[in-house]
Amino acid sequence: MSHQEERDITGVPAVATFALSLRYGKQLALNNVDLRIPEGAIYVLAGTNGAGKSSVMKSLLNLERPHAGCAEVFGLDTVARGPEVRAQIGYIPESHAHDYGWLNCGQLLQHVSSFYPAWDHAYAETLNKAFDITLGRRVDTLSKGEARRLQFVLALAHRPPLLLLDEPTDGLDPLARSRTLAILAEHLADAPTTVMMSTHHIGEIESLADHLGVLQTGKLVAQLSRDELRTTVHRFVLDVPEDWNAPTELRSLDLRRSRTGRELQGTFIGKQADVRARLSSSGATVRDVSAVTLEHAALALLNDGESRP
Amino acid sequence: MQHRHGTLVLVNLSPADARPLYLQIMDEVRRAIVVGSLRAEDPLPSVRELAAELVVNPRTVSQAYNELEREGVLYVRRGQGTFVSPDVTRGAEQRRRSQARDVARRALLEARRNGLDVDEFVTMLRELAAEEQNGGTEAGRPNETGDDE
Amino acid sequence: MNVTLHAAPILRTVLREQVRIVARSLIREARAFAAVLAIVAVVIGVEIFYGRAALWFDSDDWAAIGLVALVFPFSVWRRDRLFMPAFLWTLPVNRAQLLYAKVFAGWVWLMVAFIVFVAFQFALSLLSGLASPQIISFDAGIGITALYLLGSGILLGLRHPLRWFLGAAGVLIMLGLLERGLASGPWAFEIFFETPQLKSAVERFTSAWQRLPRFAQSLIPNLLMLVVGFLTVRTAASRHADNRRR
Repeated sequence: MSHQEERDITGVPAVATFALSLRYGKQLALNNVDLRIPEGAIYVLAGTNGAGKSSVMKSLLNLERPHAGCAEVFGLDTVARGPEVRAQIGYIPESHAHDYGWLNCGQLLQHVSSFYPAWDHAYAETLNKAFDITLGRRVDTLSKGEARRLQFVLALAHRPPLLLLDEPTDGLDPLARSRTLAILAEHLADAPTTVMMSTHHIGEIESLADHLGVLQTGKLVAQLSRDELRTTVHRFVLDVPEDWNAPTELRSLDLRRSRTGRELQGTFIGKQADVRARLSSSGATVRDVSAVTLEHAALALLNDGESRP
Repeated sequence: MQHRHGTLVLVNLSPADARPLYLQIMDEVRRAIVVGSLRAEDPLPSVRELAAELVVNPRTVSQAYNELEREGVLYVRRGQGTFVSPDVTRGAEQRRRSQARDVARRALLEARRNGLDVDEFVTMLRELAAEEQNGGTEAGRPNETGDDE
Repeated sequence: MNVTLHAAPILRTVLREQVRIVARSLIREARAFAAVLAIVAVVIGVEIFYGRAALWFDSDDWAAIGLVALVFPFSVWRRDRLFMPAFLWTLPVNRAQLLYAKVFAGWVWLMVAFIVFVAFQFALSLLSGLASPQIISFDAGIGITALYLLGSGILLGLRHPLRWFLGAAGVLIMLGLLERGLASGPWAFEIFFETPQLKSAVERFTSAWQRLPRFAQSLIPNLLMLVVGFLTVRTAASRHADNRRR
């Protein structure tokens, strides 16, 4: 077997799922999910607890087997070519505990390194310093934050083409969070990497992420790039007549009205000029338009998904 | 971070800013040049350093640098990094004007948002500037409108 | 940007690493084993000193050794959660292969322990001077291997191996009690064995068996058990295989 395999994967998405469905018993954890993560993207997966974020990652690792549909990583089927797929992935699971907690950090790193021919020992050492890992400590005596940092070293040291980060900053204190994200940004500058991460703190990766996917009880209700977000989702402040209602042909999210009923704020989906025109013709005066943050968009889309059948 | 040899450029990004991040970075570099904190032949932080410092996608930083390179503000020395162009002073006047326009546009937007008339706003600006020059005490007062420059 | 896909590790690396990590995980068992041998050595030493017969181990005790081989897999796999999203299954290795590799690694150390044990016993026999050194038959190793494989297969293939173990033991005890309680009357299997055709087949088989050479008589059941052991491990591995669909 060659050390590294050359394959032309130009234009192949890093992650693609095709009508992926997953069941736990009778409960549908993923429902016809069609995920597309372009190569090089930093894709943030938003959703409430139990929306299926972890399940998506687990099915990419073939830890959960799809009930219907399939998934591909760099064009490789996750079930038929599981070992090859997993060789491309650095994974930080939601849980901080490690099955091999009886090893010390150095031993665990050594053990894991032997499974990745691409493991970069010098880089692992750099990461150990950056993440302040004490090699002699037993893994199951680590605090949540320390365990997380060790998981980062384990996931990054082989410079995997795909990182799956499930709540990666969970358990880290604020200082460690910002340091960790800075190291991640550096890592991304050094090696071509696609990232899929789930997080409850979208604000902290606002400037890192360039794609957003929103999962709602197993369904992917939205998936868009930062640029699409910027051109199609806007927050409007309007002066409206008291009996005004939003034009039904406009998709609007979380509308809020002042008590007098004459001022209204809300997020509208569509090209700005288009939305503006429709609002004006409905009798509203646009007072302000602003872009929305990733966090705001995720929340608005989540709220929207919840209110619709 | 473990290796930080002093920040090379003070870049501030505002999450509330509607413009794409790469434009914000470009603006910040231009601003640094206009105010003189970056001069001709000064080195810029590497993409890696700036990405880590701002916690932004390295691609965003690359994009900003590439655009600035295209505009002739920056140039790349192979294997050494990115530097401010030697002739950056040449277009300085024009850049200053375009920056002034940018700031004015944002201020105007803010004024409109608050329902102000343009003339009224300009008059008020002059009054304020005069006050600050004379009194000096007013200068340190917190800004009522919030976080504009 | 150009992505270069990474390769999975080669089998040799996986094997070597499993042998290493299993050794590390068995340190406690190794210490216990050494302690037992040390105690035995002391006791035998005292016996020899007082000139008493010191044959401490005879062939009947192989049953106990076999039991150890059967439950040894529980030690080898103690740290792994097999039926959950486990660390083991996140590794970039064919899962059936990984499972075989670890079974192999456990077997390597079981054999090391076996050889140490045999050597120890041999040395004691020589020292005591009373018993002639037992020649440990090659097929004892095969029998131990077979039981180890059987134990591994049960452990790896069943979601609740302990319950199955206890359940099977329970059923056997129940059957024994039933038989004792209702000692009279023909049982279904007795009627079954009374069938003339079957009876003659059994008789023919026994006579053929007795005509076999002695080594074959002990080797054949061991080999059969070995095959059964392999098959259980194979079946277990298929439960964890990558491409096993729901």
